[in-house]
Amino acid sequence: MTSAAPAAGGLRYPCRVIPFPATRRSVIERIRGADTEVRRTAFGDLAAGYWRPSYHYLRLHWRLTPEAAEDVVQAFFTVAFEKGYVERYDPSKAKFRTFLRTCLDRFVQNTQKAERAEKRGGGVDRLSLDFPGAEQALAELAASDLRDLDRFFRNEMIRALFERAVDDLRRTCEESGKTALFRVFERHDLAPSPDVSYATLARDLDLTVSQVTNYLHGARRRFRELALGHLQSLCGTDEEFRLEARELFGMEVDP
Amino acid sequence: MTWLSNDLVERLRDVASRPELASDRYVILRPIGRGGMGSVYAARDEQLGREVAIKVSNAAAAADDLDQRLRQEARVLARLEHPGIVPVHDAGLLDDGRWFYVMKLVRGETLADHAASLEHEAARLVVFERVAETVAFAHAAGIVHRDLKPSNVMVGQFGEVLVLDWGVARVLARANRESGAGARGHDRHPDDPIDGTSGGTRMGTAGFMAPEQAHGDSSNAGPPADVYALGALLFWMWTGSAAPADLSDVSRSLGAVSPAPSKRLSAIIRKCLSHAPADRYASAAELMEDLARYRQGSSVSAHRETTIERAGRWLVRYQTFVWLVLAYLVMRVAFAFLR
Amino acid sequence: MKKPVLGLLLGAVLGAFDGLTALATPEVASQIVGIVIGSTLKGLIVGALVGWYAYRVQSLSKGLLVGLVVAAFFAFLVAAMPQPDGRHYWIEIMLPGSIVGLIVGYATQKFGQGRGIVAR
Repeated sequence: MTSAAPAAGGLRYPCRVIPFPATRRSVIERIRGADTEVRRTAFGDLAAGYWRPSYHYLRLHWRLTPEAAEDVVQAFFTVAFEKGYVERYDPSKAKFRTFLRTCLDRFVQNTQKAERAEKRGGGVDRLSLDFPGAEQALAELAASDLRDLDRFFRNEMIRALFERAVDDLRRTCEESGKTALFRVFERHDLAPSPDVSYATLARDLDLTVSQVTNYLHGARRRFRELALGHLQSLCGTDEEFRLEARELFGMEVDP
Repeated sequence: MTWLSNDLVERLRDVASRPELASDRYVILRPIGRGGMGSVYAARDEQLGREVAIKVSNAAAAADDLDQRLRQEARVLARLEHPGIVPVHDAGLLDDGRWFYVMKLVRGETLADHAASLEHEAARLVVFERVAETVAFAHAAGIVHRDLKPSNVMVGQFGEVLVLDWGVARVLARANRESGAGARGHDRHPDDPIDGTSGGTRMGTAGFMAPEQAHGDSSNAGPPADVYALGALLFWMWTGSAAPADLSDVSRSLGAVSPAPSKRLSAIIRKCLSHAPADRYASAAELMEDLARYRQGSSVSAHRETTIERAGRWLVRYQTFVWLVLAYLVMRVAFAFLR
Repeated sequence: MKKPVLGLLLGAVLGAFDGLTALATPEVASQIVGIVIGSTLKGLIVGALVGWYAYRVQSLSKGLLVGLVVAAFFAFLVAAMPQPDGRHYWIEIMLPGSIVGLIVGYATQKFGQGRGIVAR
């Protein structure tokens, strides 16, 4: 997500206003679209954003074994695409993630044993997902409060969303040669320690304090843009996206 | 794929939410609170080496309505230099062109949290009078707060009382201020800031909002609207709940608490909570005058006393004198009998 | 009305009243005129002094103390004079006289126009 050219009067384009790019429509609009490639991409985004929350949910709430949870996740997204689960979503009844979780619950209930996922037709590839990594994270999640399943699922969605945004930020910084920017962000925000200050970062990374400040602001802004971009692709409607953005970052977005 | 712990997720959420200031002078430290109009952050002023509070609007863009209201709030606060009003140190633009302003970082608790420690009438009235005095000052400067409530009053570490959140304050037109009318703001001087509200706007908080505000007439709400809110605040300090719309319910509620406020104080509260603005005190200053008379043990304008009530009040007010005279008379009678 | 004047008037009135109460003492009733005049003068002087103090110093506790001490002193002087029956009416004169001093001290601190200096 890039900023537009400066507006009249010298003010930069408000960074908190996310423009409405054609590629970032709500997931419903994209999946209901006629273009097969757009549908496939939309589903890919959906799976990328929700597979880890789904996996953790299946492991902690349904208490499936790692193998069974992995198979169910793979099968669920495959079947959801083939049978058009997402097209049945009604925004007036619930948030999209709640709808998706309900579908997942029903899928598990209808599948007595998730022994193995079948590769179905329709051109959907088996997802390449880091299940071992997700399994490793379970240790911290074991103490999660599961009384509010919707909140748990949402928190996992946010975690996965942020992780993707961090990875995207790292990748784009490396690709554009802005490794120093990511290093500042990583040292200050991803691995903070009490003795980290702008001055120590400037010394360690051979930068000025002013550069550290600018890089940090730039990285945070870019991270936020990436996170909001992913969030928008995971929300059912523009209104849901607006509400989620407000709750997540305390900002008003303009889809 | 990166793994983010719960703490890191929360930290990233926090840092990504922070406003980006166009200069290096202020460094955002942590969020303090968020309201409907804006968010407040603790920050460090690198030039002066002190902690301050920064308020930014929740507007989606610069020049948005919310953004203009924040600018208005900053200008109102800058005009009001009073110990009961948080001083504004600076104002400026964020990286995206929206407004922010810098004010003193107040450490303390809101009246909503502090009230439990105010067990006696005298302690409550001390705090209340400071609020009323601040509001009276604002009225004298031609500004009506329009959103007085316990969460907008802060009691500092050293007992100082501050009235916060002037975001929906109304600046009365200059002509009306000079004439002392103060109730209507149709004739606005070109130099006066824009009120930001229009007819039909409902601003304030239920339970503390004057009836004229509740009916959508915030744009014409004058000092009597603040008087209503002050009365509701006083009512809340005794009962712990928002004031009911019906005055008879007000009397009933005040009579049900233990210890109940005196008849004269209840009358003052009822006068503040009168439905018609004309039946209330015209301003916070008038309310304060009646409260001062109440504290001195004199009669108050809100309550017409019976002869017995007046005599009783006189006896209480001058009880030392009465006791001395009685002691003298008792002594004289005793000496006479002892003979 | 300024505090010294208030003290003077109040002291005189209370002194006169105090003197009249001697009518309840048969032994000295025959000298009531002298007693009343003397008591009035005493009250006048006490009132003036206490009122003057209240004019200069605004402090209820100090005003009461000064009223008590001054009135007790003058009451002492009166009580020190033997009565026609040869007795000294120490308590009957000093106690009520001191209370009158307290009353004047209180009244001059609370009422009347002072100089505006508050003692701490």
